[in-house]
Amino acid sequence: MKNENIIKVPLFGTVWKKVAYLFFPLPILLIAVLVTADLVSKGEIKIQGELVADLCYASWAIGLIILINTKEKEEDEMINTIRLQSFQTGFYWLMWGLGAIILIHLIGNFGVQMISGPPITAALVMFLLSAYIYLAFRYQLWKVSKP
Amino acid sequence: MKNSIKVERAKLDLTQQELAEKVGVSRQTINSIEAGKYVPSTVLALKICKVFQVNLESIFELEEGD
Repeated sequence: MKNENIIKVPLFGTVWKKVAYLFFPLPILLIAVLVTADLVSKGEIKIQGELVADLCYASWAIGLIILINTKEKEEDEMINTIRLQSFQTGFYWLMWGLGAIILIHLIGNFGVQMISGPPITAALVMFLLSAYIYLAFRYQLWKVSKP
Repeated sequence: MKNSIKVERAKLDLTQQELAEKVGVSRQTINSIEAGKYVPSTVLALKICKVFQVNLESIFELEEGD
C-alpha cells in the first residue's frame, strides 16, 4: 500500500546533518564578524537584544528543521513512526510553551510591570516547534534503543 | 502486545540481523519489537509471520489494556 505523492514528506540525505550543525554557531560568528569589522561602532548596524535573539532563533530553527527532516542511518517504519509521533508531541509542547509566554505577557501588561517575556516572533515559534520536535524524536529513539 | 518472535527465531536459528534483512527493517527495530517497545504495523507483522510460516495469532497476542 503506497501513500499518495502529495502526502509524502521528502527527507534530506544523511549528509545534511553536517550542514545543519553549521547553523548553531552561525549567529555568534556573524555577530563576532560584525563587531570585528567595526560596522557596529561606526553606527552602520545597530546590534540590539531583540535582533540578536531573532538571529539566534532563526539560525537555530533552520538547523533544527534540517535535523528533524534528515534521514537516519537506517530509515525504516519504526523511525518513521517515531518521527510522526515526535511531530505531534512537538506541536503539543509548542502550545504549552507559547501559552506560557502569552500568560507572562498578559501578567506583565495588566499587573506586574516587572515581568516581561520574550517577544513572540515567527523565528521564536519556529525555533520552539523544531526544538520540541527534535527533543521528542531523540528521546523516543533513546527509549527504544536503551537495553 | 506480546509476541514470540524470539522463540520463533530460535527455532529457525535466525539472528535479529538476519530477520531484519528478510523483512526489510533495521536490527534495532526487531530488537524493539521483541522487547515490546514497538508495536509493528500490520504489513511488518505479516512479513514477520511469512518468514516463520505461521499465522499472525501464533506470534502476536493481545495483552490486557490493548
